[in-house]
Amino acid sequence: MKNVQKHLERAIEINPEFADAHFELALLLVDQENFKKARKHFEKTIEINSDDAKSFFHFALLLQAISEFELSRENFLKAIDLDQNFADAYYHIGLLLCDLEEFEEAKNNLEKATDVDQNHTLAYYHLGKLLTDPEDFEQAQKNYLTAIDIDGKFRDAHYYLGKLLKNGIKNDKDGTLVEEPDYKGAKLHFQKTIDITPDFDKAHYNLALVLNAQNESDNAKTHFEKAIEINPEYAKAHYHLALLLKTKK
Amino acid sequence: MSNSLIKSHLESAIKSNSHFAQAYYELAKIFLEEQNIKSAIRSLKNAINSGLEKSLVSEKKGQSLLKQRQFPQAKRHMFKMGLSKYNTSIYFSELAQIYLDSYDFENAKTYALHSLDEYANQPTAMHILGCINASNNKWKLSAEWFTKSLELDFKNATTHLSLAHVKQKQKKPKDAIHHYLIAKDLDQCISSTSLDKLSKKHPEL
Repeated sequence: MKNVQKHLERAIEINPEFADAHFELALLLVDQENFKKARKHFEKTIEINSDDAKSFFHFALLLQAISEFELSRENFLKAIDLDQNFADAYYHIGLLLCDLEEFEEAKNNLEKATDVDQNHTLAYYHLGKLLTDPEDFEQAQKNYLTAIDIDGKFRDAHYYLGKLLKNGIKNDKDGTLVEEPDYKGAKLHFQKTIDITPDFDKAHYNLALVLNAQNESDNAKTHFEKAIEINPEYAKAHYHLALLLKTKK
Repeated sequence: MSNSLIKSHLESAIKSNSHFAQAYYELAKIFLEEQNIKSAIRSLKNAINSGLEKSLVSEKKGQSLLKQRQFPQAKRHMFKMGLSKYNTSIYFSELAQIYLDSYDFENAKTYALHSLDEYANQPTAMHILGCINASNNKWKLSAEWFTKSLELDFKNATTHLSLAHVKQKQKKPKDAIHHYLIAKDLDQCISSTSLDKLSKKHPEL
């Protein structure tokens, strides 16, 4: 790596206007978390070549990493302006807007990412997580399922789909808020999560809640205990295990 | 299953999250079962403080999102706040009930009113206020609180019985018998010598 860096620096020394060299060096410096130096090289890249969407995009990522959110947003937008099919730019600005609590805009951008790249697993997943309103239940479920369809081993998509189905809070056809948990579906996805990552404490905990709701208290107890074994400081698991033990008294 | 294992898990939950209101509440219920009133009160007060804090955090978050016009997310936090306030009102009521049971009417009243501040439709707090007023011979106020409580929780046999006693004191035998009969319908273990006598005087009811 040091060699690569040396050669890039040498290339820039020979030709200070060598945009690609500045860009590659900036990426290398980002990997090394040398954000200050990386920033200078991104700025130089953009100064030399202001038509390259990729440069704006990576610069925006760097700015996001150093918490310069507004400037980051501007650069993502420039990247999108230059390349309107830049799925990752839509995806990352979507995540940035989530952090900035501009959820509607975040949703629009994540949707755009999935429009442009119909296999953008992460965009589907984050869209699912963002759709928390009961009105959006079906849509959230659809997004998680699409993510899982593309990548069957996408642990977090299984986990959050499990949680969505377990809670089952949605609006029915006439807009009334209803609570219709789908324990069978939730169980399936929590089990899948555990198959992918056996030491995922939260999946064991949520599976235990589902089992308990289905009166499978012995199985539930096992999974609460497993969650506590993995994470002895899991407050909610201790609490629900206590409640379960109380009902068995 | 012994209480010690249950208590140990609740204590672990609290150790990991010192603001776990529901865990404090469950612990308080066990202390009450064990007649350990002092510990129950301490645990309930912890539950209340944690609950109030949680409501405040959710409210602030919800308000901030409302200002940013992020309505679905704001709604989620406001819903959480409502739930937390409702739970906290239950903790206040439980505490008020402990004070009522130990004839500390002043504290019982204070906490019952706090319970209603958190959730205005808390029938238990209204029942307690009815009892406190009855113990001070304030029959009109007492009847009002019991009636309000029944409007929210009609199937509470104890409240019907309490109201029956108050109506008897107010010399309203028909109302007294009416509520006494409902109380008996709801809970066949309920009986009162004075109300039984009164009922016999009005066989038509």
